[in-house]
Parts: sequence; C-alpha cells; structure tokens
Amino acid sequence: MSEGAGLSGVELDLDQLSLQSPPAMPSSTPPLSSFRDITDEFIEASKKLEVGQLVQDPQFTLFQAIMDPKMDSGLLEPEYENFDAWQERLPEEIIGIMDRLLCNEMAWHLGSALSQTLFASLYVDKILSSMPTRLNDATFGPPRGEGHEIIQNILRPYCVAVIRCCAYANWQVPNEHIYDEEDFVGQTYGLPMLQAVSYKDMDNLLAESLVWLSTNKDKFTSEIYLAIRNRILLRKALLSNFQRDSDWKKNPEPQWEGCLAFIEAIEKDHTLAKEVPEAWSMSIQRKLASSVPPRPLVDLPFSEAISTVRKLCTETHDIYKLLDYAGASNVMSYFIHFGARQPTPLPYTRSLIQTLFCKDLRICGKLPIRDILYDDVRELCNPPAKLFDPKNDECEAPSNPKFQIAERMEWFIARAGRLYIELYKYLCQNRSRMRRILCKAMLEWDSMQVEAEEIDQELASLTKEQPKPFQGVMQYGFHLSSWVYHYKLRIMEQITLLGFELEIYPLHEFDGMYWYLQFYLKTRSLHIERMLAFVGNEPKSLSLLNFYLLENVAMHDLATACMLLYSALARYNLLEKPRNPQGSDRFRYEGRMKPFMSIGVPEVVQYDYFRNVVDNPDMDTSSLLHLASEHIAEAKKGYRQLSTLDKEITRSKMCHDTYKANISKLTRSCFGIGVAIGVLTREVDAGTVESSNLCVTLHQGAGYHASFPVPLVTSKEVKK
Amino acid sequence: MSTTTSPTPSTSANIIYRRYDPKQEVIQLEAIRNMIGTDLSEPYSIYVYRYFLYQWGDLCYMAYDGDLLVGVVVGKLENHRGGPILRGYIAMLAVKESYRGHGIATKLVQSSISAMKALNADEVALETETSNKAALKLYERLGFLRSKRLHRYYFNGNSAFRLILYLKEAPNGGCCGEEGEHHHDHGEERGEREFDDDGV
Repeated sequence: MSEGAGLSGVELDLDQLSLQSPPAMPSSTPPLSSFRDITDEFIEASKKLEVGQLVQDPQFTLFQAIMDPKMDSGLLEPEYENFDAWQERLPEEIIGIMDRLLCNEMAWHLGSALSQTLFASLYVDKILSSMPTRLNDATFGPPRGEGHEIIQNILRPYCVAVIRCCAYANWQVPNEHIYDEEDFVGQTYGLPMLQAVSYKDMDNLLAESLVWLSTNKDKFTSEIYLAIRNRILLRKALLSNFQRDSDWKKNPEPQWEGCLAFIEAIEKDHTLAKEVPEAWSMSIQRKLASSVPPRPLVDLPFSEAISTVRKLCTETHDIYKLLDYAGASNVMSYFIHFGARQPTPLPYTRSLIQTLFCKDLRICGKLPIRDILYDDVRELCNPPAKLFDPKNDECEAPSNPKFQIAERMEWFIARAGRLYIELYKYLCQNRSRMRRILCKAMLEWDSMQVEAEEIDQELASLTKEQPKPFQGVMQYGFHLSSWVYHYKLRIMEQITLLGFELEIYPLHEFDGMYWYLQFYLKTRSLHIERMLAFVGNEPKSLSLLNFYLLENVAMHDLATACMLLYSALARYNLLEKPRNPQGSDRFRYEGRMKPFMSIGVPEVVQYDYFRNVVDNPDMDTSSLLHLASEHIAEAKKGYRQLSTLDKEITRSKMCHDTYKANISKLTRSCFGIGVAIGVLTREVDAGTVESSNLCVTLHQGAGYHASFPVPLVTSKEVKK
Repeated sequence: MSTTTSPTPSTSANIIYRRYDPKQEVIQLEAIRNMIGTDLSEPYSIYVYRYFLYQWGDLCYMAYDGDLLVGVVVGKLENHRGGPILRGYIAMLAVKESYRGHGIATKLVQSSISAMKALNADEVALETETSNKAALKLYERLGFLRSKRLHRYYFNGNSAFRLILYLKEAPNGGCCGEEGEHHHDHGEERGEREFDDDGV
C-alpha cells in the first residue's frame, strides 16, 4: 500500500495514546485517583499528524463507524409529546388499534424488533414507560376527560394482555437454539414485559373486560359488540395457550386450535376497523435506544398477521404430538418435515418444539436420551442384543466382556447422543442457517464414524460376533459405525438439497450438483444394501431399510435425470455460464466443495474426473436425453409406489399428510422435468437447438419440490 | 429506469477510470458520499468512508464523465478472521442511475479485483441481496460463486448471498472453516453492504 509508511507511523503514536488498553473498569465510577492527565501526551502525539489525517484505533470497529447523525433517531416528535391515551375513541377506532397491535405482535414473531413494532405504539409506551411490575401500575395514567370508559375497560386490558403474551414468547424463544437478531429480536430495551403479573390476574382482567362489554352491550351496534368481544376472546385464548406452553409438563394436551374460530371471526369483521395512525410513532426509538440506528416501523398487513397467528396456532398445536412418543424414526421424519415447511415455522414454535423434544435430559417429556438413541440404532441396523443388555451395566469386574461392552456403549451414548440430539435441533433452524450448521455437523459425524469403527471392531471381538459373507467376502457388521455413516450420508444429501432450495447453486452448476446428489444417494443405497445383509430377520429393520432404499432409489433416478438434462443443456450454452470469468473453473469447483473436502468417505472427486462424468463427452446428446427420460420414468414409478405406502412403513405416523404432500411435490417435479426433457429431445432431433433461439428459465413454484425446480425450455420468439 | 435531469453519457468510451487519490480527499470523498448517499435508506457516516479509504484507498476506483463522478467501488483487503487467507472485500459499489447498463460497475469491480490480486489476495468476497438479480449477474459473470445464504442479513429483513471469487488453489485439506460466523462477526459485517444494481 502506498500510504503504508505513513499509517504505521500513526499506529505507533496511537499505542502511546491508548493508555496501554486499560482493562475494563470494575465499576462505572472508578476512584478519581485512577485518572491520569494525558493532555500533554495527547498534544505531543497529535503534532505528528498532518492536518486532516485520520488515526484509527483498532477498537473502533466498522460497526461503530456506521453511526451517523442521519441515522440518529432524533428528538421526540410532537406527536409523541402530545399523545393523550385517554382521548375519546370511536369503537371502530378501538378495533383498529387492537388489530394493528396484533399486526405488531405478529411482525415481532416474524423477526422484527419490538422497537419497530409493538413498542412503537404510544398506548403501549404509556403503559410501559412508568416501568410497571404490578398489574395495577400498568395503566395509561390517571383518567382524563370524557369517554374514557372504553379505553379503560377494553383497550387497556387488551394492551396489557398483548404485552404479557409477548413476555411469554420472549421467555420461551431464547430457552432454545434460535438465532437472536437473525430469527428473532428479544431486545426489550430495559422495559418490563409484565412478566411478574400472574396468569390468573391477567386472565381475570380480560374476564372483567368481557363483563363490562356485555353490561354495556347497548352502547354498541351488534357487529361492533361482537367484533370487540371476539378480539378479547382471542387474546384470552392466546394468553392461556402461552401460559400452558410455559408449563407444558402439566398441560400436555394442547388447546391452540381453540383460537382458530376467533381468528376466523376477527378476519371477517376487520372491515369494521378504523385506523388510528397517530397512535404509533417512530420517534419512540429515540427513547428506547438512542445509540442504535433507527429501524423503520414494520407495517405487517392485517391479512398477513392473520395468516401468521393462524400458523402459530396450528403449528404449535401440532408439535404436542411429540409427547406421545412414536419411535425414533417417526420423530426424526417429523422434524425433517417440520423444518421443510414453507414458510418456515415461527421462532416461537421452533423453540418450543426443541423444548418438548428434549428438556432436562428427557426426550419427549419422559425418555432418557439413551432410549431414543438405542431405539434409532436398533431399528436401523439391529446390532446384537448383547450390546444393549441392561445386565452389562451391573457387571463390576473390569476383565468381564460385559463390563467392557458397557464401557464402550457408555462412550457411544456420550459421543453419539449429543450429536444425535443436536441434529434434531439443527432441523429447527432457518433453512440458510440449517445448511451452514449441517456443514459443520457433517465433519463431526465423519470423525465419529472413524471412532465408531474402532469401537465396532472391539465390540465384535467382545461379543464373539461371527462374520457374514457379503459380496463374496466375510465381514463383520460394523453396526454402530454403519448407523453413524447412514446419518452422515443423509446430512450430505440434505446439504446438497438445500443448496438447490436456497438458490445457492446457479443454473450452470445444476448438472454438477445433481451429479453429487445422485452420487451421495447411490453411496447410501449401497450402504443400505450392506446393512440389509446384517440385520437378520428383524422385521422393523427390514421394513425401515427397504423403505429408505425405495425412497433413495426414486430420488437417485430423479437426480440422475436432472444431471443428464442439465448436462445436455450446458452443451448448447443455455445455462448462463459466464464466458470469461476471473479465477478458474477448478478453483470454483474446489470452493464449492470446500465443506466436503476433508470427508473421508465418500470423497470429493478430482476436478477432471468430475467434469468428465458430468459432461459425458463420449455420449451424444440424443442418447444423453434418452437416458434422462428413462430415469425420469423410473423416478415417477418410484414415487407412485411411495405415495401408496402407509404411515407405519413411511415412518410418518405424526405427519402423514406432509409426507404425502412432499411425495406429490416430487412427483410434479418429475413430470415437469420429464416435459423439459421431451422439449429438448424434439429440438435436438430436429437439429434446431442453438443458444440463440432457446432459453431456459427456472420454475420454483407450481407445486414443485423446492430442491427440484423445473426448467422451462422455450424458444426465444415465444418468450417475446 | 426513471427519468432524470442528469446528462446522458454519449458513449461509455468517454468514461475515465481513476484510482482514489488521498491528496484530493476533500473533493473526491465528498463526491463519493454524495453519490452513494443518494439512493440509500441507511446512509453511511463519514467514518465508514474513512475506515475504508484511509486503509485501502488503493482499492477504491472511480469512474468519471468529464468532471462528474458517475461510479465508485470501495473495498478492503485483510486476513480473513486472522487466518492465512488474504481476503479482499467489495464493500460498496455504486453507479449513477443514468449511467447504468454500460459496464461501468463491471469495470470498476475488475479494477479493484486487479489491485487486490496485485497485493496477493487469495479470494474476494462480498454480500448482496438475494433479490438483486442484476448485481448477482454482474458478479457471477466475473466468476464469483454463491457460497452461502444469510437469513435476514439486512436491517430491512432481506436475506443475502455471500459471493466469493477464488483467485488461488484451495489450500490442502481445506474445510469449511468459514463457519465461525456467529453474531458478533455478522454484526460487524452487517455494515458492509453493496448497493449497485447496474440497471438494465
């Protein structure tokens, strides 16, 4: 750098200025004696600077630099200073305020900050700014003027209850792994959320509100009366459900679906609402956090608030199924489908499902972790019963094989138990985060596989396991490491599938990435076949492995068909591959495969080999497409069969509808991709394909599977 | 593209590219701030510009039509997370609206990348909104790879792609060491947006 010399000179001076980076002060008011006058040193050091030259302290980060007067939230606006919560409101306006508070609450659930949503409400501000901890202090202040009854008896209880509901959510969400600031903003700017107010008192307040309403029924039209009533009833039900969730062990029967009727009602009578825009102000942010850039208020449309609260109720209701433990493979498939829901379930639900799944080292409210782990291992690969014999634990003689088996199984529970439970939790993260976290998990499962192989060998000799012939060679079962390997391969597939879903792979990488997908699936199919040879006659294992095989083969056919189709499209430069990029394709390939680079089996293949198997230079395009159509036909057949299997076989006892919906999306993708293969085949056979007259666009919607979007091959004339 | 009163470029051949010159800070920095500040909802403070320009002024390039600044790229170059990888970063890229679609942004980014290469950069990274198709196209044409997606990365709630251009061979046994990224890092890099959309 040309200015390098000047800069390093400045850094030297900075060191002198920085008071040797004093450690953090123990308290905010240090004794005066700890101050040192540095005026002379400062003047001396600053003489060495040119006029206008900037010095930068290493502690001064870019984030701090972002502060700007323009980003300052500024003074409190008159709208704030002049706001009178007691001002008389029409009943229609009360409904409007209640509905917008619901929008605020749901926007917060969707990931916006309280300062952008609920806390921008001047009514909420009036209640919270006196820092109330008791219900009686949570008021708009002493009543003023006429017509305050509806404010006092309807609006105040409603506001207080919304705040209390948020307090429940704000307590639950950070209990589990949910990314703060990314999925959910828990910041309350030091304001009390009325956590200390008991549910009973809160519920009474709403009950009294209902009593007041029915006593004063004649003051309203019947529509208005019902609209207000429905809103209070919904709030009462939401509050009750949040409270029940916070004490779920006592309340294992969910009642969230009880809210749905009220939601439907308020959705209909929202037409009565009259907006009161002056009851919200951005300038509140000045009070909340003056050192943070203001964030625009989030105006979630009412229709979206309704769909969000509906989603909150139905999905939170659904996750209680977990408490009725349905077996490891069913629980796992429930989590996989839960995580794949679009839109992603709310942070609250994603947090609560983790709590219901594993709290205080108990799974689904009752089982020890080893039980679900053993359940999963036994169902998948049925190791010798000797490994799980409870009597092993009673054996006290270290030389006894039972003791030694118990010791190794203890290791396995500790090592695999943590990664296995974490895997469930990873499936509850937002999809972008899930993919990145699975890249890390994959490495851990990979090293665990190596360790488990060693333990397997020791266990084989401790249990005097007899080798069995597999593919002409006598082999041991390698049960535990087989189980680990199977999960590792599933993780590798999932990372690749998410790459498509999250649009991390652009079109011109599709051929190569579908090649990897089919490669991982193929590897897993071979592994399943091996496991099938070692599970004996255990019907549960046979059924699970055969189901996995079916599922795997179908997706393998689909992925292979995609790989061949995109490989054909690439030949005609139809995939928007950059012409003269910097760097090199090989570097990009290595960058793409970087997360997988250190995985032992299956390995990342060499770049030249990769290009060769993806491009198939020895096969003409017609044959390539013919092969693709054969694979797509097989895939359709596979998914047809999978769609007829019952929930016992498909391990979808808790989510059979979602399972079927997923199969139907995959089937649609098969048809769409089949059509694309057909169109391209016709063009190729007619000899009319040119990148200048055809174009390829991706269709993500139309009920296709998110990881198998459908390419629309059209001639350019038609498109115009 | 909206109608503006600003002059339309006769041809892109008239555009002159210059590296940022610290001696002309007063004039250049002001012009850069004005241009970038125009279409930004979250304007950067003077410190942000200085943060980059004082340390990596040699990675900043400007495009002029006569005396008029019409485009700028601002970047930095550092060891990634204190490790061995020397990573360039495109922090800001802007082209005046009426000058878009003439390859000015591409030229600016190329200049900055070349300067980073000359300083032995291993890779160049940046983030862009997942919905900014024009920016994605621009960077991918230059060879950038989408390496990951960042959920709700921007204050407005939008998600980002992190794009990386690999300039050298991956070190042996490379793994996904990227992944330390928890919130403090994220917070820091939050400020580093780029906002070019090199229009149609």
